[in-house]
Amino acid sequence: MATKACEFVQNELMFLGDILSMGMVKKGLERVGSSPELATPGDLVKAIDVHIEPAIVTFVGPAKARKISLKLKDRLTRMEVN
Amino acid sequence: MQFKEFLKDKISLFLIAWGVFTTLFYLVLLAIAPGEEWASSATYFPYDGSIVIATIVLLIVHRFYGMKSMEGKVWGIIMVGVFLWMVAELIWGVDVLLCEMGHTGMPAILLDNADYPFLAGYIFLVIGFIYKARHTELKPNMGYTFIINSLAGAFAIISIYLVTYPTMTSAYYSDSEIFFLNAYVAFDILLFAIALQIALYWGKAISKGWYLLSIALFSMMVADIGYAALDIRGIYFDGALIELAWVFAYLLIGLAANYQKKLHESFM
Repeated sequence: MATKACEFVQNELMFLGDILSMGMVKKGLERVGSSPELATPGDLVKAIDVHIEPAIVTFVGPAKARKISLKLKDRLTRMEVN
Repeated sequence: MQFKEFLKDKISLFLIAWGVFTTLFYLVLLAIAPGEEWASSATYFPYDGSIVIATIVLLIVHRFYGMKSMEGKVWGIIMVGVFLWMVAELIWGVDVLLCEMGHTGMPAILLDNADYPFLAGYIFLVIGFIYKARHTELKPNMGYTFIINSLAGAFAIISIYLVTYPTMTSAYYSDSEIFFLNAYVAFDILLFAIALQIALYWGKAISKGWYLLSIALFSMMVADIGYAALDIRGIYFDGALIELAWVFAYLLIGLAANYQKKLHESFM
């Protein structure tokens, strides 16, 4: 079962399609040595930088992708602090 | 994803192979039976096949993204548009097939109104393209705006010279024929401009699919202008080489959709 932080990112990216959202997050986490079941907010921030943001760019273009990833990283950072 | 990798994909290979097959089919028939009715009728097979294949590819792409996703909606709307084009193309194709088999052909009501699904198809494509553009933050760029406006303006002037003016001054066409001939070209230019806008603003690395769509619309524009120019002079016939521009347009739309799918698959 995916962690809360992972579920949060997957849900936020549902506008890309459910299979794509989950697949993208899973591959991003794999690239930073994590998985949906073990992912911490910190892992997800790294996954966004190395994989998820470049993927979102191909859907909505660079400017909007940047906004989405900044919003996600901000929420994940707050999640980690709490 | 590398473009070479995309070209090795089964769907891409099939679309390219169909394009090569259709081109050879047209050339061989023109060489061995120029102007013969059976040869003209035979070209409907690869011609209609191209839009049927494009519609199936769009359906596959739409199903990959799902109904709820933004990209799924874009390709779903484009698919409906291309499906309507397919319906219109098949009305003509099936009519020829029935006549060749000795039947009476399609009912006149369908043949007389085949332009309406074409026009409706264009409207769906415009909606799909605008929907995509609206979900993309396109920052103003004078250089790109100049390129797009210059190209659209140049094509508009060419179409006025080759289509609008000759059709309006000719006694050969009815009002509705003049309307459709000009509307198709106008929609081609509009769609070409939107697709190119999305492609240019995003950059080469991620928008090859939209470049392919721009080329498809350019090909469609060449076909529509070419058809009108030949028809005005009374030298258009079924199986003319200009039809290959429509074939390439349909297959390129399929390739563009498949490129986007492969690109996004590579992130999973």
